[in-house]
Amino acid sequence: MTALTVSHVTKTHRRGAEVVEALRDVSISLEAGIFAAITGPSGSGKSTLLNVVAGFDRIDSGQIRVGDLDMSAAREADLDRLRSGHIGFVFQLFNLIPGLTALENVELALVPAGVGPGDRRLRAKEALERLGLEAEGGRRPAELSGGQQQRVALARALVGRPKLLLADEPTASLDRVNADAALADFRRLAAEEGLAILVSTHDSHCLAAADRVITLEDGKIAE
Amino acid sequence: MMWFRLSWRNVWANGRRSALVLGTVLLAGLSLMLFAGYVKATKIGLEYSTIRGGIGHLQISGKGGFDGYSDEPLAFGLTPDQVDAIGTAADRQPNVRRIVPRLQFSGLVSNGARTLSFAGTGVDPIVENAAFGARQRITGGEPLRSASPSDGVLLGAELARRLGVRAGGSVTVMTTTVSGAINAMDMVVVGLVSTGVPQTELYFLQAKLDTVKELLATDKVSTVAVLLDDGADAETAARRFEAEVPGLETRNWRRLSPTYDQVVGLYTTLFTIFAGFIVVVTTFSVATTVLTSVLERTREIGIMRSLGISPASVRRAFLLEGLILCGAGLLLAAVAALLVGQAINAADLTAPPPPGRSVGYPFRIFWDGPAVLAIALIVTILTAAAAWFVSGRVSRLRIVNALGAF
Repeated sequence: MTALTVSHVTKTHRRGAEVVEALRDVSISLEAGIFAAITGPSGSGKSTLLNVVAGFDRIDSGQIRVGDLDMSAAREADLDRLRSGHIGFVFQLFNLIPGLTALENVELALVPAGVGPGDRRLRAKEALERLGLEAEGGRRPAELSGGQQQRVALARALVGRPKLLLADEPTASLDRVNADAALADFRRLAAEEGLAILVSTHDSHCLAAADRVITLEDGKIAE
Repeated sequence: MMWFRLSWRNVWANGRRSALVLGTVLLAGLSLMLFAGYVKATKIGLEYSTIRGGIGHLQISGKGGFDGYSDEPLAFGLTPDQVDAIGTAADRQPNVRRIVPRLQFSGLVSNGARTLSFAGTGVDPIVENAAFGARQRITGGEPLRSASPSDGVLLGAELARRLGVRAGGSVTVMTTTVSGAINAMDMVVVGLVSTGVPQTELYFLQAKLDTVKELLATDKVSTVAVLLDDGADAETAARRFEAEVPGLETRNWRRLSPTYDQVVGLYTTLFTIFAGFIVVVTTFSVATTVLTSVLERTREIGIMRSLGISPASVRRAFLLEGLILCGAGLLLAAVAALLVGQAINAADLTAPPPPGRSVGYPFRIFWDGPAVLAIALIVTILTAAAAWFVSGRVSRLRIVNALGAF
């Protein structure tokens, strides 16, 4: 089953007077249960591709379909619903909210889906337990190691039971041991839970672990 | 609950800024609540001093007695039968405390060497003192009592000073009878009265009712003042008197003393202007803080939006933060207003005499519950509106920019 279809997508950015073509006629599709890695030099458009797929930014032309939704034509409210239920996103710098505990950070992802407080807490605890963080739920992000923060961010991305998991340089801020553990998680999630996973990376270990590698150069697919 | 926790922690995370807003709301709330308490104390004090100062809750005269004109003296006066009927009607009204008949007269008062005009009143000392005696300030001699000689007279302190007489001295009181003849009586000054208003002290003269009736050769009285229980409705009582005794006209204390409404109107206007300025400054202060918070936490906003949380929900978190600070500030302000008010009242301060008066008045601050609630409500609504307005930036933020990707 196709989890993601990107068709002839173009995206430009303005940097002052300069117009940068971040994505040029990019087309990819991703099946459920596949762990795919996008690689390429800095500025090649990896993060931009993840951002437009996640609905963080709009494309100039082309089409992106996640599940049944045509994101290019969707309203903001539809994109909000998509992000809260269908897509999970892991940031390079984890992006946990410093004022909330690990458990609350995970719980927060269930708020927009309208999950009640009791269920929310239960599911957030389960998500942390699955990643071996049951003892860290009451800690604030600043009290956690980089690897633990990354797992909390992963728990937050997965707690809404998404069909598509996106991760931007998920191993870049981790040491080798934690990076390998994160990659093992991705492989398990794709193989056992049928998630479609798309990560941007420079990490050779990540590229080796992926089922499929997509290379971007100057905003174009070079595979 | 999660939004509350997040907002609560953000309040504590930016302690100094939160303290600044809290302090602003506290000071604004405190000053408004104290001012409202002062206005309430002034209103109550003014009402009390007007009613207990001699006017009563209402006054009764014959038809046309308040606005009518006649060449015939006491044409609108009340006959003994009417006064009796008023007494009977008063007995039937449970909230009537006293009825106080009075006979107004004017003329000249002389010590032999000097002669000055006066505006006098004939009173029954027993009912007059029982109703209004507590408010009378005797500066020399003693009050007019039933035991006082029938030719005893009270003079205004200023009138006595200008005549050069003291308590125990004698004066000649000249007036005209109802038939127009000149009549005079030598009287003994039993006491001197300070009314607190120099202009009325210059004309004040009070003598026994029967003596004045004799002097004016009449059995009528000009008016009957009615003192009701505290809080009783003067208009209802007035309507009942008019219904039960034909040929009467009544007027309540607010119409008899327009000063009350003028002073209350002035204070209300001052309070409204003051409150307007304070509320605007407070609203701007809270708005600035919320805006700073929004700007500082742009990344956090991006994270929330990336999780699918709607802009409205994110804005609610900032709104809640503003409301927590506002609510805490107002709560502290209310407690402080209560304590400061009690401290001021316990200090028994006296305010300087207002224009036209020679005596100051007790400076009091009362707890005005409805005004405190209204202040809290208005400040909260405006704060919420300001927080909601400035957090509008959240809706316009592109997630990718908020996250700092570009």
